[in-house]
Amino acid sequence: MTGTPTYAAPTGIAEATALLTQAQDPAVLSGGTMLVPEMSHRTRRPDLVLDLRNARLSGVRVEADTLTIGAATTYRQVLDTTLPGGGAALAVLQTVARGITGGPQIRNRGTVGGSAAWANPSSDVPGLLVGLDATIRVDGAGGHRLIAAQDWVTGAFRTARAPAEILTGITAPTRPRHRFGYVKFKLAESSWPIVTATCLASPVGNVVLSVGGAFERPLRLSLAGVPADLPERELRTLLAEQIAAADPTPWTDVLADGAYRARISPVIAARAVQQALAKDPNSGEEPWTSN
Amino acid sequence: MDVELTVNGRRRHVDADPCRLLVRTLREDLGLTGTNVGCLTGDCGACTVEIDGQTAKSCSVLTGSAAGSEITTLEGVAGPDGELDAVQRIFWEEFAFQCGYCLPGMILVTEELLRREGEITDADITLALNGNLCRCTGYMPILRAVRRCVDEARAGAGSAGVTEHQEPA
Amino acid sequence: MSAPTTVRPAGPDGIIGRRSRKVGGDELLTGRVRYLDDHRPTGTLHAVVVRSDQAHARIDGIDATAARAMPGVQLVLDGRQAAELSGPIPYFIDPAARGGRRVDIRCLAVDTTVFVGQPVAAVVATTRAEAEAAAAAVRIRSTPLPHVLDAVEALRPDAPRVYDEWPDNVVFAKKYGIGDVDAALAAADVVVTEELHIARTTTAPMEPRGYLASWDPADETLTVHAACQNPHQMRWMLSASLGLDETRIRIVTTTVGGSFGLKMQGHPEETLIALLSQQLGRPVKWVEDRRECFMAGAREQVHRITVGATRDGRILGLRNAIVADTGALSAQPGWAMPNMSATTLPSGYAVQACDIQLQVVATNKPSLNAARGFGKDAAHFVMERIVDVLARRLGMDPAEIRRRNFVGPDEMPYRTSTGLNIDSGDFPGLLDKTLAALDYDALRERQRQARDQGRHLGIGLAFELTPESSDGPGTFVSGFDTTTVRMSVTGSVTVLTGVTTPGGGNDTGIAQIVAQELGVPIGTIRVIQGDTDQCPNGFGNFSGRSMVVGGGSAALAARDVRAKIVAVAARMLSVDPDDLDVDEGIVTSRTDPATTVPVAEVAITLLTRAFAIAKDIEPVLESTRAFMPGNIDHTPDEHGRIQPYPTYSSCLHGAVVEVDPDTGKVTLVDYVMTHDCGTMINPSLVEGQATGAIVMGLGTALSEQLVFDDDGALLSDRFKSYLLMRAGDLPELRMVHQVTPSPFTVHGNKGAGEAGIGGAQAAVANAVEDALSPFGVTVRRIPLTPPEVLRVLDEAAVVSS
Repeated sequence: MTGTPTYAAPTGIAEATALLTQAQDPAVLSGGTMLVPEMSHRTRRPDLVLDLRNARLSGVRVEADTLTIGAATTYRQVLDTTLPGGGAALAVLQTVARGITGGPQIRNRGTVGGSAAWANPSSDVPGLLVGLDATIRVDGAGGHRLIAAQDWVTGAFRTARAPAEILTGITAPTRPRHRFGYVKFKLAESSWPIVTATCLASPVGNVVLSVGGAFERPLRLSLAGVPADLPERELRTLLAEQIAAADPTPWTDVLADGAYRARISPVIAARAVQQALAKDPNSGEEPWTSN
Repeated sequence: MDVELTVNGRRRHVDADPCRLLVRTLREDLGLTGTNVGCLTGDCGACTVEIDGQTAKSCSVLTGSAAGSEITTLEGVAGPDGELDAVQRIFWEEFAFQCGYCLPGMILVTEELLRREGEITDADITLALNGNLCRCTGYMPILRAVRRCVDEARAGAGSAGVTEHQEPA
Repeated sequence: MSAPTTVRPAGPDGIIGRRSRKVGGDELLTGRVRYLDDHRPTGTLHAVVVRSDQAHARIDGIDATAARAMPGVQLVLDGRQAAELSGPIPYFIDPAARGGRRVDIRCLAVDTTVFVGQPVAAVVATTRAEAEAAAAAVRIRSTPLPHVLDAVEALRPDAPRVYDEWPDNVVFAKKYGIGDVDAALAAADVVVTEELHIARTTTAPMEPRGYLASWDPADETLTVHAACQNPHQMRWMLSASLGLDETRIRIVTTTVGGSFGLKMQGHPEETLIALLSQQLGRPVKWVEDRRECFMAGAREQVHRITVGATRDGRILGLRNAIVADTGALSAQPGWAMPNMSATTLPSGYAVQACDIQLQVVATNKPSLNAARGFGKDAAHFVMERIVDVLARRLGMDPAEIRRRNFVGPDEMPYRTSTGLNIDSGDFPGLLDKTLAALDYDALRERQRQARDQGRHLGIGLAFELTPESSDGPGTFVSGFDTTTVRMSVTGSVTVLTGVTTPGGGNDTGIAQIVAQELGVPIGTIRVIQGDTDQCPNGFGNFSGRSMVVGGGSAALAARDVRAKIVAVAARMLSVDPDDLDVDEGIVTSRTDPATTVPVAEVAITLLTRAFAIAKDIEPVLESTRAFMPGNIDHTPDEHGRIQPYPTYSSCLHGAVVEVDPDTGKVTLVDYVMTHDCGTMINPSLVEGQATGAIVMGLGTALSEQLVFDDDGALLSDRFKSYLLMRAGDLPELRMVHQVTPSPFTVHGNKGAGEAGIGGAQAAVANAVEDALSPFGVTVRRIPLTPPEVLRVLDEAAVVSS
């Protein structure tokens, strides 16, 4: 399309999905930190920009053992959340939010749902959601679908969402008694994540982790009964074997090629596991992240 | 479409394409050229403004998305008589800028940081500044200035949370 | 920054050596200044440049039919049309004048394009968005030609030629240095050789380039507002390329948002935008997109370097073959930078046998663009690297080997093998101060302990000698500059100077000098720079020259005005002129301090009572002076060597890093620079320059690099793929000052602003190699990104197995 796109800021899902159905090449706008620069550089030229700002899709809730994140919840809102009962899921989400690249200006605007929908391999959220065993809800004119995080990202910058659907919310088990680790590796502060690892460890050392950034799709791994004192080298070997067995499609960009990412993936993953296993779940300490 | 914005305390109406970048609307339609364009990718921070009390990179915000909002630009930081506020004064005294192009981000992020409650650590300062690029200063005088802003604000507020200035290890 | 964390109020303003606050800082802080894009005259049209998408191609045709029909479009101009309306752009430094090869540089490519991104057409429309949309609709029909993207490959006999009419791709080749290197290496106890690679990087100021050209058809004058460093040279160039008399052109340098060499002129868009305005009779503005800005490459060089030394570490001889990748030629001075890599060797070491062979090679990449360091940085990366390699071979401490080879303070001025005449300096003093600040011996012990715990701490030292304020006969690289100091009837002072500031703050330093030399408060002084209709002839900003020659000429002019003030005041007070002092705007008798008269009263007396009390005194309160520093000598000596630099700043860097051998990540732990630029006019300005340069050097050492795909397209085209340092990447950078005044400048000051790049690169590379020395690695390339560090480790593992 050649002209400027139509802009709409619907106040509800029904109105939004109806507009999407009528458009040829719509773009859903959440925080804008990815979509707007693409539009400025003419690499994305939608005929409709559907702004979610009035669609009442932001906010974090905890009900029973489920954490619900509205699609348009900003990282800032995640950080400002003081809900009890968010468990390891909220803690790791806050750790991620605190370390989002781009400074407070991006954390104030960027949204969890936006990042999930953008599905940049070099980003925090897609991998995080896999590590949380999250579920993603999309709404379309015909109703809604629930998609497991593992099935969400179908490739680099591709998701299971159809063009006329909107990502409306994300749920994840809170894991109140789990411990967590989150390690993000970047080349420098300016760089997008090269490899991320999210780890949730049950009280008996059953570990679920995800590796993001390294491959076109986030990778989910699990280890049963990992002792807290397992030497890092052994842990790394175990993880490397699992990663190799999964045979993921490597992700290469100008910052780091697939071989490099694959090589450091077990290192970063092992650090996340160690972080999780070392952390006292009852200490109430600040969520933390490290390179 | 008619977009209403309250900019630096003044209500303004602009007839703007809602898909026009907010930075373009501010600079070109409202003449507020204190907000700079450095990259148009949301990376450098030179286009930072405050929208409803939160900093944002205005190259990554559509005008439609800001409709009805209260916006503060660099021009809106000083007093109405042009008197510099404490952050600006300290930046000047500490040589925390050279060419000045990064100042919208550096100043507004610092103002936002100072509104935060509780202790503000050196790590908080770094996290706050990490969204802004500066090619002139090497960041050291900026870090020094922001530390001083935090210390003076805490001392001035007379709160119990005054942080002693830490010599780095 | 010797006490970097203490709160330090600004000192009393206006005196040399004080930390006067930045002139005009309040305007910057409140957003009131106007950078180029902030100038928006009514009726301004907007230009967008259509660029080649081929690394090398013959242009078969340009179809602008669709573009011309699009909304708002006023003009589409292609290379053939532009060539009929404008001539070639003169070179800032013509390679042919130095014995190299040239091609005509045009504002738009005519028949052939030689890099991806070369301007081939321009679109002007009512708005920028319309121009962008129309530019996307311009179709370039072209036939691809073979291309070459690597300078070493471009030297092969069968390599594609960037310029068909040349027999090969060599732009310029020259040998530097004297002495019998063969004999020196034969006599050496140990000889080491390395091939060292420096990646292509860029200046990336926060404000990209931009020009606003306004042709007035009524009086046939052209006014160009420009984000530039050299307004007078731009006027001359436009006069040549557009065939206009210089008196009809005015260049106004706007507030500049950083430059670092980028905005030295010679860019095709300067002529292009002026031409578009001429064609349309309306103001035309072009502001560079960030992606365009990333094309301005710098520093890409390969050095094969050999040194030979005695067993006790004395370097006897040096041989270096340099291959520099200049990309396509441009009129900008960037192509000449590698010359300075050659002449700056062997730096501040007393090595009298040097053989340095330089080849500057064209490739199908965007042009080399002037960049902070101007090639001198590469000399330091290479020299400091090979000194460390030698130390390791000899089992010597890197501090000690440097001490043994430094030119001594008592040997100054010292003529190097390549002909430079180092004016002054105390290099062992720099070393002592840096080692003390690092607590070197304790640090080595900490390193040993860390290794025992499996952590890899490394310490890197690097010396840096920065020739500044250069002069190149027959080029726009001038070793002098000119300033007018003018006092008005009310005693206020206008300083009009030929140097410009891209943001660093030399206007503040110049105001301090004038305040002191003239004896008036700094608040009464206004410094005007960069306007060719107001300022005397000058050369603008480069080579750390602005305070040396801008400040120097301002001092001379201020002294003239002061002498006139004193002469008139002496008559008014009926005292001997030699008895009078002028300070803070008051003329005072030394013998009778109660006898005073304000400078403003003297000024009004001279300018309104010229036929009365000021009779016989020429009623001019103004002086224009040029300052030509000493030590420049263009008479070739018996070896043909010239001496183009008056001053040589020096510094010694100490970097401490920790390397993670599992990921390759290098973390900066501590950093010290001892800096000597002679007298400091304003220490805060010096520290600002040096710290900024260090961080630029750290970026190029660790994360910055321009990467191209096989078809010559730039892949690292935004700040998430070309990684500048951010606040969180850095430890506290500590600075220690040493002052050895230059004997050849007005105040003993030397150039400041470039020192930091090469030293930081070398210090980091040396520290990384030191950290990984248990693995037996050799660092041969920068940047040391994590993938590169793992590659270095792998290489060592292969060698050791």
